[in-house]
Amino acid sequence: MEKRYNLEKLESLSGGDANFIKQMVELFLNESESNCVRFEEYQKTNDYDAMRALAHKIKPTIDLMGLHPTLEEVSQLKDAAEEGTDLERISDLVGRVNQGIRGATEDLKRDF
Amino acid sequence: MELVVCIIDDDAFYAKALKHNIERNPDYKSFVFDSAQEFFNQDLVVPDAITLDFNIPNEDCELTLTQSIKRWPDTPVLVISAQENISTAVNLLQKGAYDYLEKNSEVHNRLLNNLKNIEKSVDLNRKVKSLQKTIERKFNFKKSIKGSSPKLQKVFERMNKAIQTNITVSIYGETGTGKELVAKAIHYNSNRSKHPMVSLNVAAIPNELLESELFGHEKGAYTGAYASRKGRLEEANGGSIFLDEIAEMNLATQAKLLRVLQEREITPLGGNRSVKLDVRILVATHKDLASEVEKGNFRQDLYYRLLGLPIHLPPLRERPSDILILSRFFMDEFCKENGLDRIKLSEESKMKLVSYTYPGNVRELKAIVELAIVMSDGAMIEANDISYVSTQNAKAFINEEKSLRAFNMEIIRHFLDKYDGDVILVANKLGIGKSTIYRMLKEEKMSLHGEALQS
Repeated sequence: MEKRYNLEKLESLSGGDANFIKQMVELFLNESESNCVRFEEYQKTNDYDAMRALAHKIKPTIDLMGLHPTLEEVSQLKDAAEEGTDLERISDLVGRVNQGIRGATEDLKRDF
Repeated sequence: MELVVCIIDDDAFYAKALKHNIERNPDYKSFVFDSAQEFFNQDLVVPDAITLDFNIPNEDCELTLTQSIKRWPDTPVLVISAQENISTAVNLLQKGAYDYLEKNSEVHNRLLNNLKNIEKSVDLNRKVKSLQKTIERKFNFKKSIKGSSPKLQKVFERMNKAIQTNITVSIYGETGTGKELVAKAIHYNSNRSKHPMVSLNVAAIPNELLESELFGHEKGAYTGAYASRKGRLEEANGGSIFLDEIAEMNLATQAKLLRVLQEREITPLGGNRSVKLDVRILVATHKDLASEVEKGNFRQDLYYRLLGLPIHLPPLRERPSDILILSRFFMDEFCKENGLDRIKLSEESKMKLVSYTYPGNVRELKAIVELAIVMSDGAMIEANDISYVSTQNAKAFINEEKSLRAFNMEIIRHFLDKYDGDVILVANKLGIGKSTIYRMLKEEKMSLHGEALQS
């Protein structure tokens, strides 16, 4: 099965420092589940400002960890949350973003 | 060169990536701050560059940028944002951000390129500051002009008066008394110290070029003027100009200089544009300007305009108590510059140094001391390491206006020292009888080796 992450960018940034990659993966794993939970909470409380801010904040991390389909979905979620009108689409995007993050987390836990 | 970068970013993941990227250059150190507040509340780290996340929660990026520039005006701030927004970027750049970087795949390379450029300018700034400090130290006149004699104290008093205003200063003194040093010390201790100090030796410039040198010229103003050139007065605008050997200026240039000083503006040769001047004038000469006026060599009106605050630098022979202080200073400087151990002066060499008249003044003393260090064994300067080679010695010797008997005695003493008390040889050299030498020594109550005899 194809990995749901791609560390090419991180490896390029690491300059061959395996320890750095390990630390960055650990940081991602530490934060990923809590970010998913926060998306769900913001959805429940209709706090779309906070949702937009979180989507904006995690974009670079998602990019660096190579969660390619999720990166586009996070961008869409940010835009949708900013508008705060299409709740069905927001719900769908939260689900897909969290699925992408949790899937990558699963793979990373297995590989590291 | 070490470069300190402060990263302000609440995203631990991204901040770590930035930190790693920055520190791939072993000369760069970085410190991460979760918030601008945390950054501003610390005073342990002085940043050479700052990266600022655009979207720090509860904080306004523009405000943080402004505060940062206010606190560290010379420290560039690189704003890093997760999204590209042209109008935001333009606004932040107008507010003083060094660059606006988007958190994309290019950001790490762009950040390193920016830091490379910042490193160059930080390096340059450090060098400029270090040179400024060196200049300030060098021209701190209590440190740079050595001596404690009452005559020198009077010079310091005058210099102190000079630095408090923009008054024109005229400096008089024999060659080698330090006229330029005094002029520079006045400039670098005045409120013009951050502006240019331009020195021009009038005697060193041919008459036909002097006007162009002083006032500048436009292209084609005269044959050979292939390009426009600023004059030295314009170069000194805001600061000071030191015109050394002013008495050597020809009458035609004197007239033009007078006009410039009266109107406080210059028009370069062959040009129409006039430039407003705000220049402090310092002049110096070894001649007596008043007598040059009487002789018709110097314009009286210019003389009065330049007279300002006169400072007379005493010749070294009039402040003998400073000779050993200056010698010690020059010895230490020379040894430091040449990586030598500190050297001492023997008692005889001290006597020799203080008994000389120094027609070339401080400049000559410096040369004598430096030569003596070279000639010495490296630990102690002895009397025979010191040699006086000035061409002006004989003139200075005669200028002392002693009695003929005193001159004779001094000549005999000199030869006796030179030939180690060999009276016969000295008598032959001088063409006098040895009994004359003995008689004179007896009358002066001196031994062959210069010691005073008991009566």
